[in-house]
Amino acid sequence: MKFDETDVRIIRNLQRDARTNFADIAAGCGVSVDTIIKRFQRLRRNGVVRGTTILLDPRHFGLGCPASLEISVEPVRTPLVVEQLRRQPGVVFCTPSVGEQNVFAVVVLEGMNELNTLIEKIKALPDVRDVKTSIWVEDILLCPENFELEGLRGVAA
Amino acid sequence: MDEIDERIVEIMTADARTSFRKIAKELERSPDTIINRFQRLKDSGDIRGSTVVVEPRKIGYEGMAAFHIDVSTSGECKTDSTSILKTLIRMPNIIIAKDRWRPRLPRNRRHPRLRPPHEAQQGDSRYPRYQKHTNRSMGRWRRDMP
Repeated sequence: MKFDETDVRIIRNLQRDARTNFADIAAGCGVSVDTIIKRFQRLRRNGVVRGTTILLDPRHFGLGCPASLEISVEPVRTPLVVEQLRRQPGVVFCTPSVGEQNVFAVVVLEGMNELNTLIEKIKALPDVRDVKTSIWVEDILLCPENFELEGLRGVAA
Repeated sequence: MDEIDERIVEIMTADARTSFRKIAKELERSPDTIINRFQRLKDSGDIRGSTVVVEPRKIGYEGMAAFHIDVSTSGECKTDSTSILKTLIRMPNIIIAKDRWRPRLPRNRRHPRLRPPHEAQQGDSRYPRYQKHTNRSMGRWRRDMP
């Protein structure tokens, strides 16, 4: 069993609107609603689809300061620092990275004071050498549908 | 936003496909109330949309990367960051693009290698730190439907 055009179409539809009716997707693909339901369940079971979520505007929730942090850490301590950061409120994404800095994180905070406090806190962690900050301004362009899914076709389900 | 709105947001963040009926039952309100609240949250822009979370590793991607792009705003190759953002977000596999504002480091904390000499002008490409950044506002921009 392989992933095919129907799977790709399901993901494409849901990327634009996660609440799209399965009946509408079925009509677009020329298959039954049952097929779509089964395919969606299969995509979830296989871990291709991790879930669905709503996209919130952080500024409407009093979180006016989205920023990304690039953190230099002693290489051996990287996993520990990533783990600590992931538990930190305000950190929405954190991953080890390859490049100049070895940890990359995205944070969403109320304002500059909170950001400063967090950065000082991170700098105080053992083996953290440096934190580079960029604060995101204006509208953030987000296009989850830019993922090319062509690689999925032909992959064994 | 009141407690009901917050609960709706909470439930739908975990699963955007939760039926309104189920949310209504959980919050002990009518489905109509939930539908109206959801519509209001969307109209006000609190909720910008919904999407499916795809695991990149499962569809053949090994990594994600963040690029920093310095935009020259003076001199011969003058460009504006808005048009660059618009071009970038049209490209396949670029998921997010944003302007940034970089706090200027105090003099003593700048990397010595990148500190430009006195005669360097702003926008001098030899000294990336000395590039001027612009932050321009723009409307919400969605990729054209394929």
